[in-house]
Amino acid sequence: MKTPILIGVFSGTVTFSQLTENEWDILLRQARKAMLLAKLYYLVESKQWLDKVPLRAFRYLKSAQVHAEKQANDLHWEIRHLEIVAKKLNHNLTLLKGAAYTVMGVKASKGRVFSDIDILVCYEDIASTEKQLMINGWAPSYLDDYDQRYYRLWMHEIPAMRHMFRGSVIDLHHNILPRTVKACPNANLLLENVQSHVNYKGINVLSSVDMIIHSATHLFYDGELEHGCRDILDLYDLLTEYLENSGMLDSLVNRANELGLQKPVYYALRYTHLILGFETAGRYTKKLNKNIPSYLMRFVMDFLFMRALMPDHKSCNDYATGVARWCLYVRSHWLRMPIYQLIPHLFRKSYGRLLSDSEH
Amino acid sequence: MKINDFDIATSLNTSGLVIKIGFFKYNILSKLKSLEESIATLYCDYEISDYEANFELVDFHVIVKEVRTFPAVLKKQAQFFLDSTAPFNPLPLQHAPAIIEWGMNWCVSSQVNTHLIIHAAVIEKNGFVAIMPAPPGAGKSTLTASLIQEGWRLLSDELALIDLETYQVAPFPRPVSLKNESINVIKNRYPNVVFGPVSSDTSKGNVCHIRPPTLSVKEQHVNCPVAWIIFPKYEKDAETELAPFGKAQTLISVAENSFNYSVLGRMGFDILKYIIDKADCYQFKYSNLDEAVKLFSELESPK
Amino acid sequence: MTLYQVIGEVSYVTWDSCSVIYSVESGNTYLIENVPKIIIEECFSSRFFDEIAFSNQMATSINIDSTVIRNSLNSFIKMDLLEEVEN
Repeated sequence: MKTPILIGVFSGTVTFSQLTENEWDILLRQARKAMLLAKLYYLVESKQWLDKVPLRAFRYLKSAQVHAEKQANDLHWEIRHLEIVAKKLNHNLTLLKGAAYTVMGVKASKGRVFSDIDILVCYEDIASTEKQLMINGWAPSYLDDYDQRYYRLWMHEIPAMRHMFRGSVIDLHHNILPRTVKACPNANLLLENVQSHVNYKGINVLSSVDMIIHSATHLFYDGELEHGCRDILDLYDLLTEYLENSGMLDSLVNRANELGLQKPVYYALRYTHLILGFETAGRYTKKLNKNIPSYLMRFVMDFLFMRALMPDHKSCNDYATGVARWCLYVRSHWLRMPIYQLIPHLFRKSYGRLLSDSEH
Repeated sequence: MKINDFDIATSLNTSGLVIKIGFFKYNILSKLKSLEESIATLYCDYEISDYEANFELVDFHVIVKEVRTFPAVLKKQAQFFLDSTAPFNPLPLQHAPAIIEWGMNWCVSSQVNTHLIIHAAVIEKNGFVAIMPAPPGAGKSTLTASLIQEGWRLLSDELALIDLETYQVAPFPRPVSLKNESINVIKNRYPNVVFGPVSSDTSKGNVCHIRPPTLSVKEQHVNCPVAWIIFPKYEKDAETELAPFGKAQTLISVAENSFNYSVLGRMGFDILKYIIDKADCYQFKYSNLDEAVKLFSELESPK
Repeated sequence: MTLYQVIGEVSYVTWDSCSVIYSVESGNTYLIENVPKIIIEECFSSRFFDEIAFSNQMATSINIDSTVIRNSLNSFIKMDLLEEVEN
């Protein structure tokens, strides 16, 4: 399978000076589909190539960057409001994923486009947090009984809450994986290691190592991989930045062993190595002490992930990409729930999709 | 190359027909005959080429194709795509010419933040531009379609593109869309105007597009500063009236009619502050096109 | 003595007796009618100001009622343009 130009520029195997007009055209289309135009802007900027980009391409890099900057601005405004919520509670709010990257200003935050704000609190604090969010304007979603039960019994988060005036959406979590998943970690271990934020009172983020593990867990347990390319690039940024700051990845591996999340971390190291050329990451896989995929499993996962983690654009697809994405979709559900729940759940989801399509 | 020398059907069916509109290049792919005829009629003054000739970098690759959806399997429908993204639901096949026009507007209004984009008609006289923001039904298109036959240059009938660095408006001249009664009004007033096919029974009623004046296309690279911001409103039997509109209220109204004012943040505010400070701002009510045209011709250009 | 802080960056313009204020932090734009230009200029010219100095400044200009000043400040707080600084 030919390496997409978008992967080439991010991994450094392709330089911007080499690109023809036609290649810029394809690059932009891949980036647009993968929601990576803004991130591409910052990559071009870091290579001091902004003033040499063809104007027609610069237009879309710049447009995306302006949009991403506005989203970051809006996020800071929302965190300000969350400070007010945290003040009323006797526990802190831990930001996850994009919101955490943005408030910490890490590499993975540059050019990020995101929708919901993910927050983690311990299970016992869910009710009080939900209540305080409601008092401050976030309304709970309307869901039918089945979906309410699905969330409250099995999931690691409660249904999304949308702000009545500002429209911002909060996903409130009590863990990073559903309870039904075998590898579901002990959330208290994560909460014990959080770092508080310098500027925002009452707001925490996970430790740097836990942020990486969460990102890996989220990607490699997820089924909807249209943003798989963006996610593997996030992991790459988080890993490389961590390596730069601490010189080694041993703490990451030890923590993965401690939390029992060796498998997603294994894949994170393996695929940042195979796709983005991150050789150091590849070397650390041996230090994970169990739950390592067998040779056969690696073969199968490579077949699936080496396709699904590419930009979701037709120029990056081959004969098996569609099948690979479908397999991972089913796999993510199989990982999350026992088979007697999975079949009716999948049926219900596809029936629901069929119904909503025909309404248009 | 101009359209009459060119076999557009082959381009549209194979690798694409590239059309330069304003500073944008669209690569259009479609196998639909109605679209081929509509493009041949409405875009004959534009610079075009076959995509395969250069495999050049274009702004948007757009496709209009026939789709079959469950349960509407028996009805023939068409859908607009930007690359592989479909922003709108499928519509009846015969609306393909309207679908592509709406789609091409959507590309710009949803993807571009190098310009402040206002939902407005834009026309030019003596090197100065009048921006006319209006919600649907205000009669902006009928007014625009008339004024561009009476000496005003068309920059756009839908999207005012304000350059963030020069604060001037960039042209994006396209076929002007007309709805329902306006179609007959313009047909009767200006018998020489070339009409594209009529799409009947769309969600907006009967819709068709008229070919833009040749000069508007020829000068589609000429940017101009803003001298007037005029909010038009057609009202049956109303007296023709041009009333000064407060600048502060104008800023709010223009921002409300903008696609990306919020996204641009402080830049959006600063640009409107500058432009409105220099421009004459009005609300315009009319029912009689002759009087409207005369009033516009009497607008004084800045010194 | 109440100390006020402007929330982030604020840009504004005044034409005749109407102003438009833009807050970078919230991204909101406000139309302000019937508030004297001088009140807006004094509020947003620096990061902090205290209420007493502000009122004195207004007193040296022409005929500004203290109620107008109070109402304006309260409106700006409601719009998330200003906040009281806790001591």
